[in-house]
Amino acid sequence: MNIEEHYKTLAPKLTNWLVATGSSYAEACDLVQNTFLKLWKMRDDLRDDDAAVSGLVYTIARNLRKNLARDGSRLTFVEEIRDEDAGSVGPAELPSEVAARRAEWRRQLTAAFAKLPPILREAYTLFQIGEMSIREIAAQTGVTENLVKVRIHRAKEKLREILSQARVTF
Amino acid sequence: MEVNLNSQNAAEWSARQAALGAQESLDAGSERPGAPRASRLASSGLSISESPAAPEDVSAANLPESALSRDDDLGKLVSSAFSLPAPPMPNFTP
Repeated sequence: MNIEEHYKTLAPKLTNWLVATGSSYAEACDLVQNTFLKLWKMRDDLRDDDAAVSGLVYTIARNLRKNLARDGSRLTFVEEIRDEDAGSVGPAELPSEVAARRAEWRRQLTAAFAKLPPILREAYTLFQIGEMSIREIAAQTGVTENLVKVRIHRAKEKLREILSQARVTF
Repeated sequence: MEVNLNSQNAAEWSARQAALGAQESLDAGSERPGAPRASRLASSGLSISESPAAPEDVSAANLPESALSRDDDLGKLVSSAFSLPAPPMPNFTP
């Protein structure tokens, strides 16, 4: 797979994972684009292994976000994307009421994710939003596959509890 | 001087060994309240060999099938909420 193909596969998942784990949509978009610019610079050293590239992409994005939070390091400006775009755009030009409902779910879920212990949040969001396999998450987080499964299960239980307390119905 | 020190050390060593022996006897006797004996732990459902991380790993075998589904009600809600489009692809030029 070349960089463009990796972008098509991974960029939507990474964008949503970044939003789910605390970034605004505008920041997530900047992080995604900068992540792939970095990946492209490393293209000659990339192994022909999709799982490894996926893991690398998340690691780069995570580090970029950490640097941004720590010292305000600037991202390369690629194209202006506003936070408001998150509510108004979506797959197949959603009707505005659907987009608004999804924006509200996003707000509630992001708040619920923030209440999860970090290790549970990471396992679940990589699994559900990043669509990573158990094996990929285990490699990414440095724990056994069994432990990843347990963490996903516990995250789901805890999320249901948090959402129920917040009276979120689904 | 040296002889005296060695004698003192030897005496201390003997005293410690005697104390340790007495402690081991007490542990073996099982009646001392503070002694963590395997049989006492087992009766309370614990095991000496258990490490703090072990229970998390062990319970993976008993997870229900639905535990790892992305298509349950929660998964559908999350996937639907987080379906934002990716930004445009940057221009990858040297």
